[in-house]
Amino acid sequence: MSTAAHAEHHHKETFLSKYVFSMDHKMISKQFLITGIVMGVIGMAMSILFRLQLAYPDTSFPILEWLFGSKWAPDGKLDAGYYMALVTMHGTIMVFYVLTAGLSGTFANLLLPLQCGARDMASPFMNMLSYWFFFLSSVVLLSSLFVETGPASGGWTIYPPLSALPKAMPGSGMGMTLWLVAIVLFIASSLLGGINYISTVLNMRTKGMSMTRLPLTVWALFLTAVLGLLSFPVLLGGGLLLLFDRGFGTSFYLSDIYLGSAGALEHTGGSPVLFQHLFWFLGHPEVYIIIMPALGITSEVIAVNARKPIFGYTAMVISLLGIAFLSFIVWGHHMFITGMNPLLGAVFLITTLIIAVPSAVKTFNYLATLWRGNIRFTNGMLFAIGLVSFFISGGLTGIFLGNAALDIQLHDTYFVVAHFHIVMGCAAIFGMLAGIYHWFPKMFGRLMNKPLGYIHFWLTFISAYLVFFPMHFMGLAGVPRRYYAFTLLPEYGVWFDVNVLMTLAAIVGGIAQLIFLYNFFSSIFYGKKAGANPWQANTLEWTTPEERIHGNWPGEIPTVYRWAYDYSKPDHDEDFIMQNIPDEGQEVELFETSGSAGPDEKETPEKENVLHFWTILKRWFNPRTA
Amino acid sequence: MTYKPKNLTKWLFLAIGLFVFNLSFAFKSNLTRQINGQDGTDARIEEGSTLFAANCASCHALNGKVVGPALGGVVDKYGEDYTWLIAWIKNNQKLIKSGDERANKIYNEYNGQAMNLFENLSDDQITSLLMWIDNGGDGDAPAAAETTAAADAPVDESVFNNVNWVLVFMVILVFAIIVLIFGILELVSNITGRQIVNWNNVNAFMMLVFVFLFFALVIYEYQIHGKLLLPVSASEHGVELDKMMKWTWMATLPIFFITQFLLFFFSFKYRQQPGRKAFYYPHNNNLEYVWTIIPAIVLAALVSGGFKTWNKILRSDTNKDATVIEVFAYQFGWNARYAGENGKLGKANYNLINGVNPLGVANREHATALIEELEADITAMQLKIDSILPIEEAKLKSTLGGLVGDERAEHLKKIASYTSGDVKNDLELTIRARKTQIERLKLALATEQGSMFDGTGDDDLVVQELHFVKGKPVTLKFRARDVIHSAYLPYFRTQMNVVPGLPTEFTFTPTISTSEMQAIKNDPNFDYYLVCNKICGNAHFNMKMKVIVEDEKSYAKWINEQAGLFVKKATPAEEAAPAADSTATQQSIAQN
Repeated sequence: MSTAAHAEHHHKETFLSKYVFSMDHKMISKQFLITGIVMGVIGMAMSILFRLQLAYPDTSFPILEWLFGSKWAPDGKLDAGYYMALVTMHGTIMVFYVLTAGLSGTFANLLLPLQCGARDMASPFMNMLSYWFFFLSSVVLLSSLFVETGPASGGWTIYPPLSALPKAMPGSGMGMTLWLVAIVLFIASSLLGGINYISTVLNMRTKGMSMTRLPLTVWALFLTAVLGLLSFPVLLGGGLLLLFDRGFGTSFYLSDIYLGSAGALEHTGGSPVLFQHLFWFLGHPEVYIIIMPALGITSEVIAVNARKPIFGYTAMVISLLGIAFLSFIVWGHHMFITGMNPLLGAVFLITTLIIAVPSAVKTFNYLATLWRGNIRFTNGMLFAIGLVSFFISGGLTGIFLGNAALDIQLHDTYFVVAHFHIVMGCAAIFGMLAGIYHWFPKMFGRLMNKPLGYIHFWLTFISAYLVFFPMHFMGLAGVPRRYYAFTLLPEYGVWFDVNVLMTLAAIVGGIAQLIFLYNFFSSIFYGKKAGANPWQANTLEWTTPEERIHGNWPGEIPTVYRWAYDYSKPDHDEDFIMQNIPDEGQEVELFETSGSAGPDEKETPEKENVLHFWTILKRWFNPRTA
Repeated sequence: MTYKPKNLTKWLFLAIGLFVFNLSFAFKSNLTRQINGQDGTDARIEEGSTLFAANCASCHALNGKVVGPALGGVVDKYGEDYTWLIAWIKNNQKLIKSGDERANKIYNEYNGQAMNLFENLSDDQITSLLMWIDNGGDGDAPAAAETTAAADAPVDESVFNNVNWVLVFMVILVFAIIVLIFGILELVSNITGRQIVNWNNVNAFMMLVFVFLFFALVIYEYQIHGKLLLPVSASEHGVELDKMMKWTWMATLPIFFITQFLLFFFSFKYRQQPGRKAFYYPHNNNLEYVWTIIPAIVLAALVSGGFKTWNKILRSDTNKDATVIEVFAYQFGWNARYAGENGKLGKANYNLINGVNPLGVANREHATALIEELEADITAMQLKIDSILPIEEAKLKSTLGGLVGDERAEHLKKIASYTSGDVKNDLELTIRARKTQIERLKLALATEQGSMFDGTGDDDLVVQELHFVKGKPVTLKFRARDVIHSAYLPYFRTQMNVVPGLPTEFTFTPTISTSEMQAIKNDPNFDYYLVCNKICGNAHFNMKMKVIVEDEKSYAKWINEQAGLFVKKATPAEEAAPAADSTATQQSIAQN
């Protein structure tokens, strides 16, 4: 299809096909982003509401009764069951809806075609389906807030038997069923997206864009999609078996149970630990599904704004591959003391601590990239630096929790809450925000307000540390997580004022996000015009015109002659060289080898993918000198 | 072996009962009314307080809902209908199944969350409980009172509190000022059309400020909260664990400070400056080898340390002589079971659980009685399906006219649950489950070889407190009644999940007695507790069991005071008399 026809065809689109059932990857990316932001606001608001309960257990907040009614918040105080429900929904929303779909969905859709040099995704239709499954899933999940027995409240890990027996707690009734339905829809969305991302990266790179020239964002998003494709089906299986146990009287996870309200149950022979294996077989890769796109974004943003090539590109790719592989054999560290055979615990201890090595390499490479750079503190750059800081703090506490012996003491305490909120909560959110600030010009053609962005960053950064850092101490002192109130033991009393501090910091952090929301939505309409390449970046997305047309490039897709990180290259006047700019003499050579007169107009997939992987392998042992 | 379910000796409150008996004539309470036709005394109220803490506190408070309703004013609410109240407390399920309207209303109001059965409490004990409740409890909410008391002990709370508030307000204030400055500067630069502030330098400078502020706060917090961390481990293996912890701190803390510092320092130092170009430095293999290999070595060391410690704690078979104690978790509370005089724990099964045998310990007579009970249940339910349901439905339909608004909607919903067959289905499913249970019980009763009804459990002691002998290894065998719980003993560095259908255990040796720990913590009210650390339902935050580590003598004394589950022991008076031989027996059991 010629480009002119492409553009013309696009102009005829109706409102519905352009903004709602769009098949343009850029529009779908915006849909993911906006839905992700809405879910993020809901999830964050929930966390502030239950933090109010933790800080002020005896105070009445009429707003709670107004929000949730007298059943769930009698006299303005959160009901114990509803506290659990909010915690569960907060976890589910943040992990799956914001940091999986919101993050991967947004940036994989936006960046994969643009940075690989493709006109759209491999299958735009599947891409659209992916979004609408996600949307439907969000609606189903949120609808569970309105059922009589309340939403799922057994924790986002929904361990049976608690989640399998409707009579074990109110939240295990209709709310749990809706949770499972929502997750099934979510997995469908995730798989549709994942297949698409993988095929796009493997088949639709433009001429000259070998795997070794891919920006690290693409590598990260690609490996994320692979992880999702391999692990989500396992959760789907686990969830379906749980549905069977709930509804059809099977006993996959249930055995030897006497329930207060139902007496001795008929179920025998099942094992609750089986579910935990199935859950964490997804659950652990899921952590990397969340953090890897954020790391990819950070690599790009740091390199662009430090005006330096990312240090050790090959090592970065290898460590991503290493993390991706290892993430499949460490799930047992969530289950050291669940009754799993201690021998298995010892094995998982080893694999878990090994995964810290590639993470360490990434951190040091970020530091080396900053070293002797020429750093511009754009809003995106600030958040990228924040991510590295969180990645260090949270990564180091992972060394404690991955050690089975220490996990005996730390398991399910506030130490765990601190660890994962810092390393995958804050870090991934910061990666997402870095990406939003950085690619906002690409999405909307305008710049976000800088000073507002600075305020947003510093408030968020400091309040995030204030919320989560003291939790390490609480955890080390043996305070369990998921407690509705700290009234059980006298010794928990000493943490009351720390809880107040954390809640206040959370509120400050929440207010900071309002600044962001204002900045985001007002900049869509009133922001400064961005121009084609506002950050002087090298990657292909900045070669597209400002108009953001369907098909991305009005003329030919640019050919790629170099890697993405030629910043501040000696003997060049400018401090950046875009990927589509050839070196002297390089152009001729490339055309000769490809045997054609110029870059091919058609979006032909790369022909020899197997060979390309072979090329990568060779390059690893023979680092580039480009 | 004589076993009469309704006449069980109350194992937990023997001593208290005696106390009550002695004191009931000495004091006259200031209660204004009789409860259940009995006068309240301070001793009775005291007994009620103990009973409440042991049985009710995980789900109820006097003022405010926890999982169950608030109990303050409960006597007024049920119009002093003590027969009903006592029946409800003992076996609410029976009352619900009998179709009692009040019972069903409560049951539905709490979404079918059932209250546990307390058939092990006597009418008099429940009366004491009601006396305590009616008398306003212990004045204050007990938990809150304890909390305040404890908060004062380790740190000067007022100072601490103020410092935090000041911090928070400083942070907020600083940012309010920054926002203002930003706003004004932006305005000025808009008017003059000139760049006034070099934002890049501002941010770079703040990076530097942040890293020092961050480190200062981390150190400051360690000064304050470091004191609140767990004291020296009270168990043998915990010392190893603490050592491992120390090594991990030594490996990670320097990395934390160095990398965080470099991150922010580089950000500051290499901020953009006019005329400068970044240093083109794409890679350096040697450098990358260094920071791959060094972390790998450090982690390898930590792996081998962790591996050894883990194996030592959970994979060692050296403690064959440990005292075996069963820890039983349910929604929402804990029980423990000690071996009786035969030194062995009897078998138990969830099918045997009922109000008088909350742990389901195997006993032939109990099982037979339970089968009868279940069969009676089935007959009652069948009767309800066959004759009562249709009548109820007809009655509901006939009273529909004249109702309006919410009442009508409620009524229609009820009718719908009848016509859709939900009520009937529920009953039929329950009948099926009871029939299966009976079948299983009968099968178990018929088994001769290796039968669980071998009588070993008859003298088992079911208690609500864990007692350990200092320096003697214990093996805790965990069993869950309903959902997954987790037994967490932070002072002993011990934790294990309690999983229904999957036996788990943890062996360790307590080394510091309760009184010694009180001295270490400088807190005379300190007690060890076992708490729940796996989300298990609405009252998850309210599940604890007291743990006492003591010397052999007081342990033997305590265990002597406990009564066997199905064995009638000597009366309390005889028990209290110094019986040298029985103490010796107990000691020998303890040693096994």
